[in-house]
Formats: sequence, structure tokens, C-alpha cells
Amino acid sequence: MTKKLKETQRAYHDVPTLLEETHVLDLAQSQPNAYTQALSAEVRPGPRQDMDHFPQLSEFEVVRHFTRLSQLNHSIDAGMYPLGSCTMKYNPRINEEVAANPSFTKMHPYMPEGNIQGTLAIMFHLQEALKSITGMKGCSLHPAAGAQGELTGVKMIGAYHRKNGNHHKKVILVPDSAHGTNPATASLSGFSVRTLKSNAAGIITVEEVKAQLDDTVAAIMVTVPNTLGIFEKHIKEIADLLHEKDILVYCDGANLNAMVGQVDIYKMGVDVMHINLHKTFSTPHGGGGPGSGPVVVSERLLPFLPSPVGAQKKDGTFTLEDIPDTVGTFRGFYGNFGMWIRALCYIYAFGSDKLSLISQTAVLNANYIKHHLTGVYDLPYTSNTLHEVVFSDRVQQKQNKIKTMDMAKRLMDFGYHPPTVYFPLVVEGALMIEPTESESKAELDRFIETMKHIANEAIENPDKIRHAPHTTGIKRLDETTAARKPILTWMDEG
Amino acid sequence: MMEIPTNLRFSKEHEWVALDPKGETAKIGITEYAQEKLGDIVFVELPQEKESFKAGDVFGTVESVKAVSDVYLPVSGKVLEANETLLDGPEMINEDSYGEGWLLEITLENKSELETLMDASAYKAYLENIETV
Amino acid sequence: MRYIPLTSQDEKQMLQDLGLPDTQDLFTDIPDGIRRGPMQGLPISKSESELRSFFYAQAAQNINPHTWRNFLGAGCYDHYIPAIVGQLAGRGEFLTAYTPYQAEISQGTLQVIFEYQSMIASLTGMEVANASMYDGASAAAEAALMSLRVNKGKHVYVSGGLHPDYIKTIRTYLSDYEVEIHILPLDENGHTKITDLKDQTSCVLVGLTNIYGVVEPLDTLAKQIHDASSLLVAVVQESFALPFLKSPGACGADIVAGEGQSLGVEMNFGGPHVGIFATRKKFVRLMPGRLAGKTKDTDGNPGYVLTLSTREQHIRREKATSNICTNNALCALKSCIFMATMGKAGLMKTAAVNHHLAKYAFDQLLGIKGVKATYTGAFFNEFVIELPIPAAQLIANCASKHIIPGVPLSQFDPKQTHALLVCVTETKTQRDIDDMVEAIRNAL
Repeated sequence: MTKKLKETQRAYHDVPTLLEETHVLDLAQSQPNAYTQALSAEVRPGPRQDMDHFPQLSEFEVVRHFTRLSQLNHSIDAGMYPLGSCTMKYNPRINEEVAANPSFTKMHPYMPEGNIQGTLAIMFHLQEALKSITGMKGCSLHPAAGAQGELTGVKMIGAYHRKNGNHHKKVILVPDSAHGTNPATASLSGFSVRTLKSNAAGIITVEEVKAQLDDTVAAIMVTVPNTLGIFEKHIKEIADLLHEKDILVYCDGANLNAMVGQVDIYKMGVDVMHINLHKTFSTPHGGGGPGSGPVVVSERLLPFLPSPVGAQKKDGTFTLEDIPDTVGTFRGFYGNFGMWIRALCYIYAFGSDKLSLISQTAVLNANYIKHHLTGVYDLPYTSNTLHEVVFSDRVQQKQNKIKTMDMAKRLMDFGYHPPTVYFPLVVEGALMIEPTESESKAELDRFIETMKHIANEAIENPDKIRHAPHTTGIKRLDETTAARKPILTWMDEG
Repeated sequence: MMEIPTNLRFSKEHEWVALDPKGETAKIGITEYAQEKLGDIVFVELPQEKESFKAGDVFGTVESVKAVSDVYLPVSGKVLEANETLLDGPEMINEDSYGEGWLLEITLENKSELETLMDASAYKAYLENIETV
Repeated sequence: MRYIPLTSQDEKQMLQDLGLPDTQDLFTDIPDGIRRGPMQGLPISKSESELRSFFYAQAAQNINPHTWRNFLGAGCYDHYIPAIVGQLAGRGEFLTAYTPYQAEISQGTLQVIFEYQSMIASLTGMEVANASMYDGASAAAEAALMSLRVNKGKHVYVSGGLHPDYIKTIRTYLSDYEVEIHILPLDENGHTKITDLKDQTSCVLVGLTNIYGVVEPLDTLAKQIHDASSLLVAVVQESFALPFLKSPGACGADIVAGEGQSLGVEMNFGGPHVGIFATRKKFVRLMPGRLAGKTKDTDGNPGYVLTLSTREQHIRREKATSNICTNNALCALKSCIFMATMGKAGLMKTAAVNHHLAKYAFDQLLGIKGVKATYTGAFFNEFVIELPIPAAQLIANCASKHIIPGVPLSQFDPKQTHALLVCVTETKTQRDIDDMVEAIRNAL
């Protein structure tokens, strides 16, 4: 079913505001005083012409407008997003219900602690839950998103080395398969990046690490399993080797869904890992945030956690506890409470007895897809994979010069969001597929059939793919002109 | 395979150098192959006049929608002029990479460096080698 | 488990296809030594009704927001949010959508971002705004980083009147750069004072209003800052001041960064909120964060795409303008719906109401014996009063009336024991203010 894209209708009516008139102080009666005078015309110029572009609509027109916009979106509620390393799983609605309670949403961060014991309890319980799940020794819920969690973790490593007087340790080892945030974060934290080459099996070896080691190395940043979906099975050995030289291990928790409930992150040798609550722990993506990126740490980094953390006093009440040697502050107040409560609700739904069902099912689903599409698409690495699998467009390129991007666009015609494309960079024309545990076998079978159909089309009817998408209501968009001559606001439209 | 102008010299990073007949200055650009690989070019970052670079230095960037590429100066020199028309019309690099899509004009510091670059037939062979890998 | 559709029958069939006896055979690469044992401290699974009970029990441990009247500001504000904001933002198509990288199936999200960018640019008086940042503090820090990219300066000046979390965040973000941070003092009116700026000063960060609610003289400061060839970063802590005061853009700001929570986002104990970020067109390629642009499809129909992505981490990697991967899309959506609902007239009128109610409260409080004003100049919806008793004690004394009269400044500086920051928004009536004043009078 196609939908025509409608232009925003901006009607300018004179409409009442939402405030009851009786609610408001009678402005005519308030006496002018020093403050009215101080608020001179310079500061209070009156009607703002630069706000003339603002809509002036009745309530129902606003409802229509945003309802129609919502109908132009794909969403995980509507269909699969096999996006590798994004973990697009079901966002349970009980999470939304408990989070919407005004007893939580209307709490102010500076209320006296006795007034917000429920909120502080939730903060404490989530910290404890994340420590329990990962086996790690400390947790901070401060970072606003995964990328900020990464920044926090890497800066904590910097603080650690500075405390020990090792100011020369300025290099971080990063595998070639790493996500772009990893080198960006290293750079923002004053480190330079040295790339580790993955081997033919797609993983990092002890030898490769040894080859890149010298006394300027501060840490390694790994993703486990890596972005090829392959478990970095030498990680413990590598961690032990590095710890001997007082080099720390950062683990990017983007792929935690493959391991949750089954792998002890602490025993793996990790010093700090950031967790994406919006990936593994089901908080909604919201079209691009908000997320939440808590960090869990080993003893080495406990003293540097962002401050304050949630704590429980001897009398059982909950409080905020300062961390004197904290690495610093990355955002206002304490963290994204709205996401903490959703994640805790999700974790408690599974509990210690059912949590590993997540990783078990996620890995089974991904391997099922891998099995049925091997031979249909090129599989660059034959190693065992966990919750995601990476194919390439090599076969289709050879046949009729069909590219990954073309096939991605064609998938949209069948109601799917494309998989992750052109990442990781170690595979040319990569197609990274992660179904998650939320997809039923029927959905997986339908996806497999669709992918097979497209592979067939690449031979029999390549133009259909080249000019895709056809049924999305809007065709391929001109990104080139958008970048050459950016139109970024209504005012640019002229 | 596209026409490779025979009067130019080429670097491994797909830049071309056109020596001015008077022999003191040269024009620099990126090759047809490079612009095709990059796709539609949306933005160019060029250096200021009088800036100096050694052979192999990065002197600017060329951006497409999905990628950014550093551009390297194949020979040492000082910037005489940067092609300002590209700031408003970067698409010229796609349309005429060997002509109007030139990036820089420089005064050469060391003419002998030109010898280290590939000529047209060597570059053609170099491209064929890349394609078959 | 109710969130996982896999049946045992399906599992059997799938394992058969894979030629494996058990799902655990897919995990053979994981050494036994790093297997997670029983997760002590994590309770066992809860049914949905048990989850409801658990969380309602926690909610009951908080004060009742419907019966308590709170006059708290300091960077997080209680404003009225119309019912349609939550209802529309809760639609699954918005709530559960991914980042709009595939534009053809994300036109809803992309158009919302474009509309949000337009409204924020309008409100701040600037030429371009991004899709939003995490929050005000990190937006301010990112503004300082952006300024350094613009002019490669060596000094950053920060008004001492900014929210302490913002100052700490700026320090943390800049800690690995070769830059010196200087804190500017406030004069007796609570205004930022610039005596001189060092050579190679990159930028000066000053509030539109500061932590004490004081309206800063941005255009005077702008002149001083531009004369020193530096950039003015206007930091907005209370974005409801934007429709009320002269815009930062009109005052001469080069970058505007701050907190947009006041415009349609719940307080939520401090997060998630939404950072606003706006600048001049000439700096757009150095701006962090996501941008949506308008364009056409192959049939000539209008549409929206993410654009200028080459600034971002997934392409630039080490050279990215920031490592940010997200905006706070759902919060920006709420804010967009809010601003569309209120419209220009609604926003301006509500802001004026905020101001007049705060002014009324100020006058009434100063009528109490022993209460003094710290600053007497222009302010917007919050102000500091000095009390004859410690503020913490006053707050405790008011609790029985279910009133929290303000944020004690000892929250930020333990030495400021007798100062209280009182915030009044349109959520309060004259009666509420009279009750608060009475409660304070009796509690002193």
C-alpha cells in the first residue's frame, strides 16, 4: 500500500493557549517595580519576528499532522530490523507503563532524598542487576548513551594511568573491525589509535597483539563477539598478557546480546565495559535516542567512576554516594532515569533464571539464517558466529554488478528494514544481519525466502533491484544535493 | 577503460600532476578513477595560498555523501592558487576531473620529484592491477 | 518466556536444519573458565502483574506529585505538558523506530527532526540547529569543542554563573585538549564580568539566564568578546526564557547550546532530557550531532534525509567532530509536538506568565521579615533569597505542608547554607504562591 507524502500544512490561526484564564494571576494588578523596569526593551523586545515560522494550530490539527508522520515510519513493532550490532528487539509495553507513572516522571533531581526513596531504589537495583549479570565489581548509570559510556570508560583508563604516573601511555589498540565510535572516542580522550589486524578467521590473535605492543600502549578496545559476530576466543589470554604490563581492557558492550547471562565479563579480563540499555535491555530506540550507556568496571577502575552512584545505607534507605577520585562529569544530574526504570523492568521480567534465554535464542536465530543463506550470498568468514552474521555482495556484483546498497533498498519493498550495510569495513560490500531473539521462526523463514528471492532477481531481473525501492511511497532520495546545498530549516526553503 | 591524458603524471593515491610548459608550476587534481570511486562529490577542503607542503603530505579533503578522502600532494610545493569554484560547485570534479575539476596550482620545489611519479601507461597498468585483485 | 516467540517445536526443527543436538553447541567457542555462574543478587523472573506491583510499590516510596507543590528549578523545570505530547510520542511508529539512516522508510522521524531544527533555530535566533544532543551540559561542552575547531584557540572562558554540572562537564570534555579553562566572576548584580581575555581565546560561554535565574547582558558581552576575536557561546539553561527574552542570535551569539527539557520533556529525576544546539550557517560543517535536510526523490517528490554525515563518527572515525551516535530523538519529538501545540502565541504567553508569577512570588517573599534578595536585577522564573535560618532546615520545616520551597544553594556549595533558589512556573497558581509564602513565614 503506497502513501503519498504530504507537505506539512502550516495554518496560522489565532488560538487559545492551553492554560485556563482563571489560573493566571491578574497581570493588570501587578505593580511595576524594579524588576519590570530592569526587564527593559533591550532584554524584552516584544513580538519576535524570527518566530513567525512557528505553527499556530488547533490541537486536532497537531494530532493529525504527527499521526500522519508516524505512518510514514517503519518500526520494530511493524516489522523486522535485521540490523547487525543494533539488537532491534521487542520493546515491552509494561516498561512504558511503569516509566510513565507521574510519581517517577515528576521527580526533580534536587528533591530531598527522603522524598525520592522509590527513585533511588530503582537506581540502586539496576546497578546491582548489571553487576550481577556481568560479574563486574562496580557500576555507574551516569552516561547518556553508549557512545558517552565509551567516552567515560576510555577517560577512566586515562585517569588510571595518570594516577600511576604513566603519562607516556598514550596509545590504544583497536581492531580493524571496530565500530567508528571506538577510534573517535580514543581520539577525543587524547589517545592515538594503533590498528590490530584480524586474521583469516576474523579474530585478533595473541601474536598480533604482541606485535603491536610497546610501553606506550594504555589499553585495548575490543568488541566481543566482534562485529563479524565471531567470539574473540583469545580474549582471556590477551587480557592476561596486557594486565601483566598494566595495560587495561575496554570492552564495547554493543554485542552483549550474544552473551547475556552466559558469559562472565569480569572473568573474561575486562576492566570496563559500556552497556547499551537500548540494545541488550530493550529500551526503545525512539527514532534515534534517548539511550543510556552505563559502565561496569573491575577493581582497577572503581575509584574513577562518574559521581554520584546510588547506594544503600545500613538502615536500608537509599542515597547518592560521591566518588572522590571521579573521572569527571559527562552530563547534567545523574543519568537517564527514564531508561533505567525500563531496563530494570525488562531485567526483572527475565530474572536470574531466564536471562540466558535471550542469548540462546538470539544466537540460534542468527545461525539459522546463516545456514539457509550460505551458498546464496558470499560468506567471507567461515568461523563460528554467534548472534549476527556478515555476508557480502561479491557474488551479485560479479553476476550483474548488483551492490549491497541496491539489495538493501529492494528489501524495503518487502516490508523489511535493511540489514547493516558496508560495515564492518574489513568486508567489502558487507551485509550484517542480526535477527535478535524477538523474531519467530515464521518471521525468520519469511526473511530467508525474501533474501533468496532477491538473490534470484539479481540474476533474472537486476533492474528491479537497481531502481528499488518501488513500494515505499517515496523513491530514492537525492542525498548529493542535500549535502551540496543543505536545506536544514523552513527558513532555508525560501 | 577511460581515457588517461598522456601529458600527466600520476601518484599511487590517484592524484595527477600537470606540469606547466614553462616548467616552474604545476596543476594538481584527482583522477577519473578516484572521482568514480568516491561517487558524487559534495564538498572540498582546500588549503590557503602560500601554504607549503612536502611530497606525500595531506593538503586537503574531498567528500562524497558517504566518505571522506584525504588528498596527498604528489610533489613538494607552495600553493599559488586553490580552485575556489569547487567550493560552490564540487560536482566539477566528477564532471571534468582532468580539466575544470583541478584542485590546486603550485610552484614546484623540486622538479626531479616528477620522475618518481607514474606516466600515463604506467598508471593504466597500475589501475588494471587494482581491478583484477 | 512471553517476549520470545520461539517454541520448543521450532527449536527442534531449527536445530535439525543446523545438524546440532542442542543450542548450547552454538557456544563451543566460549571457554568454560569464563562462563557466568548463578547470578547472585538478581531476583528470579517476575510475571507482568508482579512487575506492576513491584514498581507501584517503588512509586509509593516517592512523594505524591499531585499533592505536593514544588518550587524547584536549577536546570530542571516543571512545566505543563499537554496530554497529546505523551500520547503521540507513545505511538509505536515513533517509539520503536530506529535511527533514520534508511530515509525511504523513516520520513516521519526525518520530517520531525527537520521541524524541530526549524523551531529551535527560530527560538534561538540562529541560522541552523541540529537534531538535538544528550542534554544541556554536554551540549555546552560540545560547543566549546566546536569553537576550538573553528579557531584553534588555546583558552576557553566560562561564566561562573553557569550550572555547576555544566562547568564540570566542560572541564571533563576538554581535559585531554591543550586548552586552558578560566572561570569568569559575577558582579554584584549577578552578571558575568569580563575584564580582559587572553590572546587566542577561542570562546566565552555565558548563560542566557544563569544558575541564579539572572538574565545576563548578552549583547554587551558579545561586543567585548567579538572585539577580542573570540566566539560567544550562549548557554541556555531554562529554554522557556527563549520565547521571552531577546534571542541569543539577536544578541550576537555564534553558537547556542543548552537544555531543551522545559519545552515538552518530563523532569524524570534529571534524564533523559534534550540538548539544543544551534549556530551560524558558515560553521555548519564543524557542528556536532545529526542533521536532517530537505531534498527530492527520483520522482521529484519532496522528502528528508540525514545529511552532512561525513562529520560523524561512523565515517570520520578518529577525525570525527564528536563520537555522538544519537540525538535524543524521542525527547526532541516530544519537544517538537509541544512547540507545535503551544505555537508562537502560546509559548510567548506562557513565558510571560512564568515571569509574572515569579515576580509576584519574589515581591511576597521579600515582604517576610528577615528574607533578603541576593540579586535585584532582571531574572526569569527563578531567583535567590537569603534566609535567617539554614535553607535545609526551612525545607524540612515546610515538609509537613507538602511544599518544597526551593533548591538550597548548599546543593552546589556547602558554604552557602542560608541561600535558597526559588523557581515559579506556570504550574503554580497565585494561591499556591501565597501558601508557599505563608509556609515559609511560619517556618522561620
